Amino acid sequence: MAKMTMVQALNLALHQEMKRDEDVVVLGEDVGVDGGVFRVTEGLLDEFGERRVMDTPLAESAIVGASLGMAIYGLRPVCEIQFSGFSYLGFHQLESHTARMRWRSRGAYSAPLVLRTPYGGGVRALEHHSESREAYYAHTPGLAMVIPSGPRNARALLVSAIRHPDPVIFYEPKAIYRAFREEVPEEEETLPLGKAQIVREGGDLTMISYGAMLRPTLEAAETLAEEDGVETEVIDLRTISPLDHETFAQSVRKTGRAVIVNEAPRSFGPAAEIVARLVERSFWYLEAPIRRVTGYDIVIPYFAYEKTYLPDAWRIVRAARETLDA
Amino acid sequence: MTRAFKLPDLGEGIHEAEIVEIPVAVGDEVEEDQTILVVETDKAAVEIPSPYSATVESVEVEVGDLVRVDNVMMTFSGNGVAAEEPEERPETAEEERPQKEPVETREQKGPVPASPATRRLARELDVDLRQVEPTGPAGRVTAQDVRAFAEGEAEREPAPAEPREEERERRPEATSAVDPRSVSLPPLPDFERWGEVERIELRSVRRSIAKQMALSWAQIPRVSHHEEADITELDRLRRKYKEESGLESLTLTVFIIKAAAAALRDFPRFNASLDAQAEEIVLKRYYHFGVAVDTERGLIVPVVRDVDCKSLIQLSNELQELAEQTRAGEAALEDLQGASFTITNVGILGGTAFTPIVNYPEVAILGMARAAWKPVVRADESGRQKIEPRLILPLVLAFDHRVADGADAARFMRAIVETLKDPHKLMLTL
Amino acid sequence: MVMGEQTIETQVAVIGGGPGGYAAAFRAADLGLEVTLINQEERLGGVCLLRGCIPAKVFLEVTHLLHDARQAGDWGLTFDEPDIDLEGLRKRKEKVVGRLTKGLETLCRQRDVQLIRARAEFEDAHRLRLQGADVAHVEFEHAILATGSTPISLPGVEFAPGGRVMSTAEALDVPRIPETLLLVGGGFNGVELGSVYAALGSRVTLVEMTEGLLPGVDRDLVKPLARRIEASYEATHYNTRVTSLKEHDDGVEVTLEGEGNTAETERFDQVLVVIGRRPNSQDIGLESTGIERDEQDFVVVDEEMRTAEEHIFAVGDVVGLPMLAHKAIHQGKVAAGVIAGEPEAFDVRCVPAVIYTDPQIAWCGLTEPAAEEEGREVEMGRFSWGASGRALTMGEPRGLTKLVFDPEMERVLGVGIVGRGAEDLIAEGALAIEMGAVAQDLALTIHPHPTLSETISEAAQAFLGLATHVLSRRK
Repeated sequence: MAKMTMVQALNLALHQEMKRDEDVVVLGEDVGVDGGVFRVTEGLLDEFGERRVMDTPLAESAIVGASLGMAIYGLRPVCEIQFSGFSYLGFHQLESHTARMRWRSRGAYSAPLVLRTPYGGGVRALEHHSESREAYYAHTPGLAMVIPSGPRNARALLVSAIRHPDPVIFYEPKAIYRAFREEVPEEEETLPLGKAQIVREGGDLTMISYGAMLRPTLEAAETLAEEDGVETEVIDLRTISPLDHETFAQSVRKTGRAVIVNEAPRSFGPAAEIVARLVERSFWYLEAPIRRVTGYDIVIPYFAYEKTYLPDAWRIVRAARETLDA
Repeated sequence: MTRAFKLPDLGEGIHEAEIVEIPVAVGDEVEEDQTILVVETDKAAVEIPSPYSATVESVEVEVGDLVRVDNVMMTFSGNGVAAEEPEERPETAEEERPQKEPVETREQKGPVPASPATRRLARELDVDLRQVEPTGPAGRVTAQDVRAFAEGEAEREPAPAEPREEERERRPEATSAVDPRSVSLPPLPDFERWGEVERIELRSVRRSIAKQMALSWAQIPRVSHHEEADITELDRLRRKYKEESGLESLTLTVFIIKAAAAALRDFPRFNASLDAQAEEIVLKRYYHFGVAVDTERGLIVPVVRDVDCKSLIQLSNELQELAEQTRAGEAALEDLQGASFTITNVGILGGTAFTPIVNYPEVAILGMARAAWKPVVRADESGRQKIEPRLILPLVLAFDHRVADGADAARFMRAIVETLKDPHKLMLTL
Repeated sequence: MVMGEQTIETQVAVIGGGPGGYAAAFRAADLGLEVTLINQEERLGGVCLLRGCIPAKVFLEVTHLLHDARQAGDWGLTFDEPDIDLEGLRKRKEKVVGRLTKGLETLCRQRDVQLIRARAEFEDAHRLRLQGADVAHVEFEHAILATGSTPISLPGVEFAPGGRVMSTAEALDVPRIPETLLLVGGGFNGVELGSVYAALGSRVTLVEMTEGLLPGVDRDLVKPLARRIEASYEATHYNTRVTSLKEHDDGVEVTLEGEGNTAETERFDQVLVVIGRRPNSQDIGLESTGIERDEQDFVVVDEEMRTAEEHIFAVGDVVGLPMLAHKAIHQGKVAAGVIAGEPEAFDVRCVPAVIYTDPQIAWCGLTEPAAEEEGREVEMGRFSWGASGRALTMGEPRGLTKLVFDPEMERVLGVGIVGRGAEDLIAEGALAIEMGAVAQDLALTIHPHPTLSETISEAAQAFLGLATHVLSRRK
């Protein structure tokens, strides 16, 4: 096992999958010669050649549309949208066609493509480069929406996404692309899609999060344990759609209290859906109202206010304490 | 030519003492063995003799100071004094253990000869190489020297009580407010809110009693077993002996001591200590009784040794003498140590029953309340029940339930009570 | 990077990939810490590997070979004057350097040390700003500063690759063999490189500010070397400085002023300036931290290599003299150990130094001149190589092994050696001093015969009056 960053882990996943299956192809802006602006696709062109690693023009609708076409014809395209903020130009292809292909053709055709894109704030970037709109994809039936939280699960989830028979939107939290390293095994490893993971056990409170927000959530859990003597159960969703509500509903039945953390804007975001499911499945076990710690209903600010916008451990601890004191 | 005089070791477990009297002054000529200091420890006042004949050069302490063993008390000068380097100032109880003098090596300047591995070991064990006696060839400090030094350090007096916080942290976390192991002692309210208060410092005997009681209370799951002894006959006998022999000191306590000693032979569990670490009961084959004496300063418990071997007369005299000495504050330290069982008699002052606290590290204590005439139901020779006035002495055995059970206590007390009821039985045990 | 600033969080950030830096990084990784090594250059190894110790030794080997070949005629073996293929020499140097630096990269990978090529600056005491990499920031729990040193030039004179005025870095590229070379500075590195160029065919002139070669080194040790230098250089000027230097198309015009002499101006093909190095403690943002520097710009550290910022350490050339790679390596390991909670400290009793000329000079611990200056009483044990069988078989009668003893305990305080192989012999001296050995320890340890290492034992024996191959007067 070697320690690697998320970028290196994703790169490993792509290398191994492309080696294993000739049908896996990669396309996107700057993914070939440049190796990707974040270097996630580094070395793929050299190893697998032009026919499988394609530098595309600056046209997201074409990237997605072409990927859809390839997928229907039997390839397994992994396309990259350089920043999630540009993906809307391809949204029509996703919503109106990719997501419906299996349904429309009554199963005769499917679209096993993966759309990879860096998302989220925390890197002091300019407009369009820091947003979180996972809700758009999660709300589209027919699309799976996956968000890893660290190098090891990123690798395993990407491999699973590539092998998945239906389209997967793979959101990569760019703030933690290189922030920390984990041991990632050389041998093949997969993680099931649609399954959340309890990453910290506890009996007093459940906190649910994903992506770059998992780390401040865990930090908050530590603070609560040290200062308040509270043991928090932390759940890493890993897949936003379909949501593994059994895992978190069960946890909340045990603890009676829940705090949900996402950096996406508050209204109509994933946290809202989770609250709804908890009400449906764990209402009678609740000891206090469920709280959400989220971004605000505004465009994510530039770097002077970025830190204020993004949920941090302090805000999460505060919400947790409110829940506990209720 | 000045020699410093330090507080000598006063006995097991005694680290500190309070200066109560300084009978000498600067410039005085003292003789060897002359008392130069009087200190009071947890248990008794101790006179400290001068180790030599010399002149008092300086007195480093004052009456009322709390001093520790090895602190400098005063310095002497004169012919009877060997030259020595001046020592440091005395330390109060708050400071850490006294400093060591650096060991002189032949090469005073330059680094201490020691291999790199030895130097690293010294860093690891936090040893200052300059203080280590080198035994290696050519004056080298070896790894063994370093280790020996580090172990020697560990044997020295432990550092003074670390703040209670550390001890508290070691206790398991108690999250319930009604769990007696609950960690935090809430702060006392400001009593002056409700009226005037006066504060008395816990000192000397009172303080040591408080410590001892806290220790005993925390350690021993104590059960009290009450009994009543019919001492009508015994007391008649006692008064008769007292009159005939003129022995003013022949008290009831003496007879109880004898009865208890006899019973303990058959119930050795109550004449023991519990070694909690080793999980062993230490049965004592000797019978030294602590006899609680009420003094002006508080309850002090001098010890009468080998009570099983002494006659009633011996015991009476000894007990009286001890009590007097104790009240006068003249009891020697050894007289307060080494008991295997304790007797406490409040009866003289009154009381029908009480629940004494076991005197740690013993496991049992026998209490006597006030003997009083009571109407008692007795059967006569024909078996008819009558009510008679009898002299009844309430007794109580408080014991450590880890070592003995209620049934044992009951039997033990029965034995004592039977002996007391019929003085002839007591004779048989003497 | 297109947009935004990536940040890396790491446990130990090591700044500088030279001997101090990589030794620290590897040790830290071996102790289980998570390490990020930030190196400004393309390759790992620092000055030592890339343009210092290692390339110099490659060329010095050549120098010795040339010397021996030329001498061999006396032994009955005559060679023709060799063809010097500079390109070949450079290729060999590249091969050695390349292999070693690749080896370091492999070690990084094997130990999971994250290697980043960038220039680092402190943004504050917990964050580095990087330039030239995909990552913009490194947030660290601990840092080890190992930025090394840079050659000092003459005022107003710049070193430029391809130019006529060189520092050791440019000189070790050996762009060509100049007809005439002015060597400014008769210290360690200068003398080494001067001898390389002299052996390759340049006419070398030495100018040195102090009164002799290798200032500060025991004269007994310098003498045999000085003789060789005088013989192979064209001219040597002591107590002389360079007062002006002007680079022209066809040469360099230099004015030399000696004590009491009039200034002389000469023209040289190339000039090699080796007058010292300054620590790389400027322009790395130390002002944004609490790290202190002394008047010579060295970073101030304690025995644990800690700077004034408790969690930031500094090692190697950047903390002070002697500027030697092995000192940096040892300090790097100390710093890494301290971070990992080990009881390490830089408490060595001596740091050996070696000059790789022919004959070599090596010493460690207290030297005789240093003892004199301190006013410390010492006694010497000497063994002249003229009496060493092995030295004679090598054709090296001019050598000396000198031990400095404390007269009372007879403990070894210092060792100085001049002669071939001094670089290896000195290690025994270093061990003896660290162990606190006494003369008897060296005298009674059997050293194989015939070897040069024997000279050490015999020098100790001489001190004790027990020597075999020389007369000793003591006792």
